[in-house]
Amino acid sequence: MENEIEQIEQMGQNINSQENAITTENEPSLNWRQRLNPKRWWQNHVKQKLTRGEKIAAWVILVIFLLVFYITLDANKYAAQVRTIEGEGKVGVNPTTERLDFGDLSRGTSAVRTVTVKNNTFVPFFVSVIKLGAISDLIKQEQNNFVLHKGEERKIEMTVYMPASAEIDHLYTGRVFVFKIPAPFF
Amino acid sequence: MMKRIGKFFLHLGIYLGLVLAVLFGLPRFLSWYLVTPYPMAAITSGSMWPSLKQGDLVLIQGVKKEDLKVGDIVVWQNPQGFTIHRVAELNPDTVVTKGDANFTKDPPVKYEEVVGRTVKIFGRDVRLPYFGMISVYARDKKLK
Repeated sequence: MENEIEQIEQMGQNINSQENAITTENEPSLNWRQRLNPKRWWQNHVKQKLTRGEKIAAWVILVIFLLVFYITLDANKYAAQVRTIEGEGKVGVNPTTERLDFGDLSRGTSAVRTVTVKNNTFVPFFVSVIKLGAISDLIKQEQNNFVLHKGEERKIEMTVYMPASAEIDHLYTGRVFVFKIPAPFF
Repeated sequence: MMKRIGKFFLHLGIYLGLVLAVLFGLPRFLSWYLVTPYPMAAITSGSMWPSLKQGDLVLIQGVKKEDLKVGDIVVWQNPQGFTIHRVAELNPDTVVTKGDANFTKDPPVKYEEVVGRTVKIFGRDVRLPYFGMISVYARDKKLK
């Protein structure tokens, strides 16, 4: 009986020592730099080493993400708006505003606003204008998707024409993004 | 190795076959189902804004003269191509259309020139946004 109790106690001690070993393996004393290391984090969670192909793919995805992030951050963003008013041939403008405000237009009239893009860098830029929102169908611009070379400056004219089907007293809003994508090979 | 290459070409053949079936078979099927030689049309201008927007793709169904109603959006053939506008007047021999965004009506066209009218589901015109952008791009290139 005493032997059995001793055996059970020994088994309990063994289990405890195994648990201690597991906990020390899972939670080693790491400093903050080791804890934030993505490679270590990946190996701790997935328990597999990255292959060379996976490493290359991860780097490519990271570079693409950073490039898209930079281009989006660097883009000129404008809030655009226009209001439809009753009557014929009526145009009301607000020239002091920072936004692309096309003012108040009656059906059949139009307003023009200009956005100037200048390349102050040594790398050519591919300029692309993207319009979003309800106003995007009303804005027409002649120039889009062009290359801007070193020191070059261009004015992009944007025209809003108020069609016959525009709703009276409705404020059409949206955003205009002028993306400047580095294009060193152009 | 040869087995893997054979399998690759077999899969490639199946995928290409599916793509070709969709590209060539779908318009033929729609043409038969909607009873018109032109079952799809891309909106290349803003004359029907906001009902139809530039870059939309709409489905067209064949329509008889007696089934046409004022307010239907119809496609009619002209020397420059096709026009998609709303029926404003129905006369005994001609139909007069007008773009929603336009201020003036179009000249009257004969019923024989009407290709069809837009397909509606639950009373709304079926439109696939951005699916007609290729036509818009081709038209812009042609105009330049």
